[in-house]
Amino acid sequence: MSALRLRITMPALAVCLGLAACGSGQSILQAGNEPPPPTTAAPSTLPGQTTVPTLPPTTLPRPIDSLPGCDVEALDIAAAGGPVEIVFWHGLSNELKRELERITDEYNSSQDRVRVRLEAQGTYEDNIDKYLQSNTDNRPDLVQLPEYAVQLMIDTESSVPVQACMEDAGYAAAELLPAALTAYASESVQWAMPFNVSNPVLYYNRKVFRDAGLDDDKPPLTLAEVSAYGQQIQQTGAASYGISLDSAPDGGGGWFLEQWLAKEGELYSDNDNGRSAPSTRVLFDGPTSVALLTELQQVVTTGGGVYVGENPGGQDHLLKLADATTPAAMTISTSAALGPVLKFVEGGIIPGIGVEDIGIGPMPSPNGAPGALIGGASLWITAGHGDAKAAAAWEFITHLVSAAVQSQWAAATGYVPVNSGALALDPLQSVYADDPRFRVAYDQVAQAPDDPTFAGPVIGPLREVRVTAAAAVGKILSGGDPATALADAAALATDLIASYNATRPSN
Amino acid sequence: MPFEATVVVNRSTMQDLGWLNSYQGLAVPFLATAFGTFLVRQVFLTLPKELREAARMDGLGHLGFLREVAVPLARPTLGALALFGFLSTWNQYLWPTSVSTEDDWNTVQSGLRALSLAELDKPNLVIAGTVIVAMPIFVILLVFQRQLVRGLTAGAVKG
Repeated sequence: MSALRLRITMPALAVCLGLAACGSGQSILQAGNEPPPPTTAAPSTLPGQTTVPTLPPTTLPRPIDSLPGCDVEALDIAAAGGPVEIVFWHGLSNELKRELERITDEYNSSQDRVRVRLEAQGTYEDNIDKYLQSNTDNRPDLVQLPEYAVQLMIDTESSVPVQACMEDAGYAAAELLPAALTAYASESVQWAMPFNVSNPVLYYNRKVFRDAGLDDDKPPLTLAEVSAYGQQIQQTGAASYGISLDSAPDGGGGWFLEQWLAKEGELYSDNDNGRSAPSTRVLFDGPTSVALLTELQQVVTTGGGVYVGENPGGQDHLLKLADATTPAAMTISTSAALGPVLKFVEGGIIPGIGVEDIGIGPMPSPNGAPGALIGGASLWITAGHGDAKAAAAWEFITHLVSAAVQSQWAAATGYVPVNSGALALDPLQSVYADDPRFRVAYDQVAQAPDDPTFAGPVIGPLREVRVTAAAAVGKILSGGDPATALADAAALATDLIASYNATRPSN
Repeated sequence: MPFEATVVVNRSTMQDLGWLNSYQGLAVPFLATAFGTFLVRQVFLTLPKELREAARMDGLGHLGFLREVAVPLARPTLGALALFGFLSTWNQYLWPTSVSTEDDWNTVQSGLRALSLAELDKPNLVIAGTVIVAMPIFVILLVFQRQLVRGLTAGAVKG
């Protein structure tokens, strides 16, 4: 999709943000604009706001009215007496962490209203666990959490939905990627602000493709093509295997299954993937899933593919491409790995593979449908720390998702920018122009249809559900019967959801 | 009782006490151990009864005897116990990670994990970090080996 076409479709998509809300003809943002708050400046005077038509007032109570509110003006008052300090927990490491530190330092020294103190908690998992274990006093003012923690966070009843701040500030969300926002919206509430977005892409070895007589500018789009390519690669002896597949919960086993079902237009769990009401059961044991995993099994049995196991370190599938004796030619992995992979290859550790040999294509699927679900993490504001802290956290969020910062962030890390304005700004503009490999993940997000299936599932115990799904995929890839494995996993997952829902706070 | 079995309860106790991100939060749970109790008890048992009687003649009560006579005499064992405590807590990961949320309170093992996450493509750096972290233990063991063995075996045989 060209940048121009994107720009045109963006406001139209932005109007239809919330899935449930769209069904009733009313989007989250529209809902947020009426009735206009009488005390604050009229939001309609702000740029971007005019793209959202105002609906006639409705008497229906909105879900957000019962949630903690946001008073952005509290910061003006508090900042008069000195900067407001907020604590921000994140789960990034590596160059991602360093880049976030750089952006934060720049922000802290650029103004006198907010001081952000970064605290790295290790991984996303550490971040979730520490947040859940802490009481209000010990929680940070702002926390970064991954896409599978949405329902878990909603049920802690401990956050100020960013929608409350958007409405209070009259914030124009028109430039933010609708798909990224939708991923963190549920039951007509925009809970969190997407910050770092990634999705699975195909990594392939261009040199092997050329050796096998394949066009290295045309990566396979469907699973049938993956099989055909794999057979050709094996027959010509260009490499030992076609694609390498894993069954990690956050990779080939759990996350990719969610992606593939979305690409097939199927729901992963009931109640519109848990977005109109909490999910009560999973739907990944249907005929589409069985057909999908049967085809994936055939990729391994007859399509030259190789199954590399549960991949606990998250690198086995990628390292298979660099295997000295029996290498594979392709794999599917998160786009967030592209930066590290290129850096790794650049170091010259792998003989025979250079930076230019790494090819990136869209994630292959049974029918080659474009688009991908949002992965990565979002920013949540903690409630109960006072209006000034919440407002300060909100102000920092608006800085992080601004076009200028997203341009730097995406260019430095390889994440998809959540702000479409970032594409027109350097450094990202030149990175995308110089190296189209970084653009593939962005295009997948931009091509995702505005449909409940493409918002991905929100399930309280999604972490655990992914583990059961991953175990099933592992069984299937090592030769098990797809229908049985999926049915067993679905029954287990539905039990997990039932016991989670029984202890939900609203019950 | 393995420590892991009580880690959740212990952590919420620390939270209620407001001891997250503090030295007392990191250290207090390990001050009293069953091993230490029995080690010191055995040493106290070896003290001759005559010492106790002499102390009483000099007007020392029960606590006075403990403070003035018994503890000073058990000093080598207490030193060994302190060393032993250091060696076992230096390597801890789970507890320090769960009671600290700020970089300032992260211990060396958390740092090591962060290093191994951050420098995936530089195993030499990670190994160098591991060696540096292990150094204090090596040095202490080499220098104090004799005292450690003597202290830990004091009272092993009731004399």
